[in-house]
Amino acid sequence: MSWFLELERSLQATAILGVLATLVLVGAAKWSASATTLLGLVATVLAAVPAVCMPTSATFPLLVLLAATLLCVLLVRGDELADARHRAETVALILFGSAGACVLVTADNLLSLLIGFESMSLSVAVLSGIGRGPRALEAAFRFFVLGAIAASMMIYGIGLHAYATGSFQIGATVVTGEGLSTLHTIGHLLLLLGIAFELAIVPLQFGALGVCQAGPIGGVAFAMTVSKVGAAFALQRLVGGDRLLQDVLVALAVTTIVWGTFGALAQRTLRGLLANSAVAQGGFVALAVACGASAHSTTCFYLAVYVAAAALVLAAISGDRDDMELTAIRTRPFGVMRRLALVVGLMSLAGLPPTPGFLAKFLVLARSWETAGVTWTVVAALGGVFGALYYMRPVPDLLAGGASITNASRPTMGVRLAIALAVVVTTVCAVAPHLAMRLAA
Amino acid sequence: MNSLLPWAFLFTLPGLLLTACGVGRAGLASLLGPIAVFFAGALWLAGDHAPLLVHVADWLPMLGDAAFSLRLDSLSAVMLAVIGAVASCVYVYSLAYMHDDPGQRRFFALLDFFVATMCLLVLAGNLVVLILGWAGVGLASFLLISFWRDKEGTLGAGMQALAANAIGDAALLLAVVLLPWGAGDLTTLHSASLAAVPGGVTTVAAMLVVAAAAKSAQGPLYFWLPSAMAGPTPVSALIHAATMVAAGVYLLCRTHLVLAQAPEVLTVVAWLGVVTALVAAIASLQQTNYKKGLAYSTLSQLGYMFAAVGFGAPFAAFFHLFTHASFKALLFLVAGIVIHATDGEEELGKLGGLRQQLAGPAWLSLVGSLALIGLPVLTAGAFSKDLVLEAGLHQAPMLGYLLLGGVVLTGLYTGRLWFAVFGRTDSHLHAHAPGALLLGPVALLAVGAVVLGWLGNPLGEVLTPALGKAPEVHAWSSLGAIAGGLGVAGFLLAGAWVRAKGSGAALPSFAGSWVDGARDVSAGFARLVASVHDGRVVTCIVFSMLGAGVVTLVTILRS
Repeated sequence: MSWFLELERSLQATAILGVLATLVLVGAAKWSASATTLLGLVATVLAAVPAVCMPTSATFPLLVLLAATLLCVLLVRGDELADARHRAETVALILFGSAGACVLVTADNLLSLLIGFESMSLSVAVLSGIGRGPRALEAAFRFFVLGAIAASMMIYGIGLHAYATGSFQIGATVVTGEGLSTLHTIGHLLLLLGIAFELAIVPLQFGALGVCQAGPIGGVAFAMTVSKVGAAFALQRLVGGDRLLQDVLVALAVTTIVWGTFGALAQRTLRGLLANSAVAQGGFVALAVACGASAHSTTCFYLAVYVAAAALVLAAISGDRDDMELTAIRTRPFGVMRRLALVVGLMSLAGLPPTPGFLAKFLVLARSWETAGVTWTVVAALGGVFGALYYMRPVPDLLAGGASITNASRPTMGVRLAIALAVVVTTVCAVAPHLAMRLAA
Repeated sequence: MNSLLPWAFLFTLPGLLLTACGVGRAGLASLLGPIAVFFAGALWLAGDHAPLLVHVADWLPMLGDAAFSLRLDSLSAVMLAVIGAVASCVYVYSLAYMHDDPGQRRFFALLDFFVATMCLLVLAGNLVVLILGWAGVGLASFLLISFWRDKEGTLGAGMQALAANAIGDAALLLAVVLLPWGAGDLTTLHSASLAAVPGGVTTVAAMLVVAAAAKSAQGPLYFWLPSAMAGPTPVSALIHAATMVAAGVYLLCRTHLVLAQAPEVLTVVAWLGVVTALVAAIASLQQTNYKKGLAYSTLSQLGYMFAAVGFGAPFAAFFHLFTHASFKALLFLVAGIVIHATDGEEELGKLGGLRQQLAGPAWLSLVGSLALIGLPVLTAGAFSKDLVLEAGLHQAPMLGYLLLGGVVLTGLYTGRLWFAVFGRTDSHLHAHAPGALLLGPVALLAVGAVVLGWLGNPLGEVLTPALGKAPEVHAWSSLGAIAGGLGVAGFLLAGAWVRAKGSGAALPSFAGSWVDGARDVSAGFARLVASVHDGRVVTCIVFSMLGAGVVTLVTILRS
């Protein structure tokens, strides 16, 4: 056991997730779906133990990541998969992907970073592919192809970094030589673009967009939360205090916010709206990351709030196999719990008080003003507040409810647990944001 | 006991929970909330007038001094009393007005939320807390305007309110972000450190004005308020009298010390107010819908308040807000009675001749109308409008004379609406007589529309620490007599106009609006973005690779 205890916290978490994911896969054929889900939950909780017992700066990111994983596992439903028997495989894939994300969160070596990225990326592709219907398969294929392009950019970037520094370590200094500094910059830029693919940053937003529109809810939750958390902290270390990379990331982030906002405004379905809004949210995460290490706790807070809000929304719509026309949302058989979860989740994503989404966006803008300057901050603020225009579109209908509430089916235990967990996080972040931020700091 | 008063924004929450959970008759539990809010304000005003502060330090530790800060002083106490009084009237009225509506529980729960957020806004001790209430009021108004989902256009109207609010929210967010200390005490915003802001105090003052203009529907940001008439009439009364639009004027009064350091911004505010007052008055004369006619009259009166702030007379602006709350709520609630009594008819051309059938509301509406015009001595509106005009003629005579001329327009639009609905005694419509629950609150507001003006001097004393030394309020002055005479002349002229042309008498409308253009442009861009996301793998690859190439090229060129 001593070798295990000597590992870094993130690697201990990775090891636990990996071992238990393998166990889930081995037992998939024999065990019931509930047993595999339960094992998935146990794996996630166990993975959090090392990080909690011996806190480091990576503890909070790891906890957010594992909370997101827990929510993903809870949201896995057999009836959304091409074959309901694939539920155990879905749980195993989520655990494998999360193991990769744990590596991304703390890796200081570019090769580890690539392995983490690939584990996460391939998991998302397969998670989408085992969904019901041809659109899920198409989205998986698209994600796989674009993921391969992103990975190749990263590999090329790693090569240039290694050539310029003679090392695979993040933060290694450039050895003396003509033009090496430029090569190093290009290398880092390619790495940034590769990782940005997981955050769904423009121009690499297509992969996650497709998965969010067509994948099963478990896969969507993974792409919207776990992938973003992993990628955000990897980017944070990569960008560090490099002014040039910070500027590039600010520009990409704000472009993404505007792009995602306009994309979502054009949507007529809830799935489309959420997919495009996930792009805009990725922009805000990237903006927080671009503010450097000093904005670490702001990034953590934003991600915690975002994961909880996304979980509320996804839990509310889980089990609905269509894209959910916005004009017909009032007549859907949603019960009170799902309606309220959806309303609170959408409000938090929109950044409206009294939900913590407001504070999260506000803090990011406050930070970005120092790093990004007036123009980018003004555009980001406008993108943020106009986001309310699309997020709030279904809310009056959801509150109006009416007869459809009485015909509503009872949400599954997993959905209820996911909503409860997300509500706890949302409430804590709304009432006592200073606690969450102190923990993150 | 006093330590509870700054938490008055929580007073409507028990009612909200009980109503939402279905306890008792819908709305009854909610009724206690606004009454408690009124008493919170009244208790403070009856006390020793020492400001009550709540300061939870390090609420947002990343933001310097961003504590959770509440402040109950004279300005917020008077606002609480106004909000509580008007909201109580609206709640009682709504018990009857919404009685048959299947969504009445939701309605009262949303009203509770609306009042809670407005109270938080006026109790805010710094900008961050103010933004919480500010955005909350916008959200609540959106939900209330879109309340009747079966009625066509309600969602669009709510969206317009949300869009205008978004502009204001962005401005206020940027004001906070620009401040070196993040939040700043709301009264001064740390004046000494404002110099560190790019553009100095002018930038922050300009942001505050943009935010206030969005909330109070001034200048080009007027568009959402007339559309908001799609909501239930009690909501219109609340939005137009004591909440939402009042927030913009409140913010300007609260931060008048900061605005005073930016004279160029004050000039813009004065012009913005005068132009809005005049243009909205003309727009009111163009409306064929009863409630929209009233909505534009609110815009016009808010213009008077903005102009007063621009003239450096925050007390005049606030006093007009104070008196306006009573008679504007009255006029809207009477409109609701008329609409309720005629089974939903809102078109002026189809109304008319209801004086005999709705005698009580007709007389009450006349009181409100005369208060809006500013009939000297007898109505509250005269006292406050007199102060605004005095400040205008003293500080910027040209603008002052324009506002004085505007009083004729006020008389015209008020008279047109009154004569169009109640002008004759013959009507082809059958109107149901209103019950006591509908009439009682209106009668109470009518009392306010008459007597509140006499509170001017004591109010001025109470508000001196917050708004500076207030000028003496006169019941009678030559300026007031001229203004009142002009208003009454306009009112009678409108009567002759309606008699000659019928109930539907209106000026021809302007064509188009900048809002339509902005909506078309943004919709076009949204469609363009959506067309790129066509789902084809080739498009994805080409776009991604081209984008990555451009980013790399630009970065290399910059490095």
